[in-house]
Amino acid sequence: MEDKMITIENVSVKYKKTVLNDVTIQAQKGECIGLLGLNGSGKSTLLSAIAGIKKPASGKITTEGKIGFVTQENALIDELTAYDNILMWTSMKKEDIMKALQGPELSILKVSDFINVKVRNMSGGMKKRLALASVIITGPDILLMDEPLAALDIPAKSDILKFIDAFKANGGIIFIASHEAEVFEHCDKVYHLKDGKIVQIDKSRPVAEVINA
Amino acid sequence: MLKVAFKRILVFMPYVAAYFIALGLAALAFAFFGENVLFKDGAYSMVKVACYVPTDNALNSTGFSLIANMNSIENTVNFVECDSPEEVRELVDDEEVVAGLIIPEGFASGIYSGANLELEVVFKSADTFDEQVVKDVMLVLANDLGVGQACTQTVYTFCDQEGIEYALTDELTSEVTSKELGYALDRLNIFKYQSVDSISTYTLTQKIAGSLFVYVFLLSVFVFAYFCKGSNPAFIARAKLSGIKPFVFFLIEALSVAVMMYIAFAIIIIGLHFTSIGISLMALVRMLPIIALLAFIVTGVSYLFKSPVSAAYISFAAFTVLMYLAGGLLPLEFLPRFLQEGAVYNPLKYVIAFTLEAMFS
Repeated sequence: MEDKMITIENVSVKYKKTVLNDVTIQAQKGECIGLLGLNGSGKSTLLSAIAGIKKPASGKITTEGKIGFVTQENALIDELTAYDNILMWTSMKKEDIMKALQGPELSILKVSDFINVKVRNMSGGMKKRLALASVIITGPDILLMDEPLAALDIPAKSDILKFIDAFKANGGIIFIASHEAEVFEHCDKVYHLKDGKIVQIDKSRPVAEVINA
Repeated sequence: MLKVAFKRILVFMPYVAAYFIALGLAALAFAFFGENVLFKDGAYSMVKVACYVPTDNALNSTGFSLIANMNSIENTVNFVECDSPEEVRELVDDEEVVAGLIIPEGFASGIYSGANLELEVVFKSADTFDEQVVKDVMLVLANDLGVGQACTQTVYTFCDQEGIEYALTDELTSEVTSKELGYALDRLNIFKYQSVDSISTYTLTQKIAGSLFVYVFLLSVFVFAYFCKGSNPAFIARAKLSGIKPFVFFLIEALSVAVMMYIAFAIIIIGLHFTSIGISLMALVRMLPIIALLAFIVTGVSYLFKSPVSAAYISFAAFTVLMYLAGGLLPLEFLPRFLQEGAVYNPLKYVIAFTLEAMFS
């Protein structure tokens, strides 16, 4: 068990029908796990189950460390600035927040550049960077990201991918649910979810080929 | 998080103010002019009582005017004057009025002669609170006139025995009767209006203003659904992972909503204090529990629906229907009888009653 920070054993999750069926995954420190699948295949449900938000019908999920979850829909308040949105979820002082944003990992996201901008005036890329930063600033060991690159421009995508590499390099575990092929290049293992079942795939295989198989 | 909650209140307040100004002004206009829209000829109530007042003695019409112009009566009963006792009975039979009062010919002169002519009070069904209160008022009036009649006879008998001129006692008799009626109606105020149907004690303008206050506050889901984040899965996930219990998250947002509602309310009340509507500044204190309750309802509704748009539209439909059924948007007397009877089970009826009490008592 040493070095393993997440163990998912025979997990099944049901809504009206079974969404996840007997899923087993293990992840170690510094590992990035990619989850690929069509809409409704259970990727987001698996992330919710790991976060403890959705209770599995059966099976066991063991996590060691603090979890951070960047959901597909961001948890930002439009009327507030980037700083206030970060402050909402942490009791850190302003100096500490600004210092953390300048740190090696968070500086990649460049949130300091728009710290006083209201969310309603931000682009999609800025919002995603801020959503990620406001989670990372709380110091998670495990990061769950749901569609982190969806509808982002090239610089934003590039920065988030750089951030993923930096987070891994610092020993963090990342689970990423995505459709984007370029994300999986940064993953150590890629799993394909279909009809509730999970299968590990060769990450070099084209996404379209895996999905259409 | 509390610091951010405070900042959110400050930032969101202009939207809340815009909403309350837009709807509040329309509501107030309706409150001020609603009487003219709803009732003809300045009548204040839909509860009708038919009456026959004979013209054989001026005291009949004088006494009747005294009663009809009393505040409690004027705001409760719409008198329909009839030309004959038969017409009164017909109107009661046809349920066009809830009760009838027939003063017999020779009633006033009978007081002097000792002929104890009886007043006739005719009732049919009375299902609503207002109607029942009117029935009670009628009974008291009839009893009181009977007492007045007996008192007057006693006075005149006494005058005859002692050789005192009647003219001196007329003024006294009139005063005694007036006081007695006032006393009886005050008792009714205390024991009936306040406990059975406190709404009857307020003018229509006050009733409409109070009801519309409640309605505008309930419909503020239109703005607050965008403020409350408890139905947003991203916020739920975030709160859970941050160790914030859903109830605490709800409590912080509900209190923030209450603060914003209260600020808007305070501005309106201070403004209205200088108008003729009769709102006391004490309402700023007395309305606190009502605003807290409404804030929790509005926040709760906002939490129930995933999208603010759904919350706004569904709550608009639900609250509008409930307000109509509680007699909040139109007097209950305009509704079919079975709906009037059902109003006692509508919680908004009591919220409105408490609001009236807090704002105008």
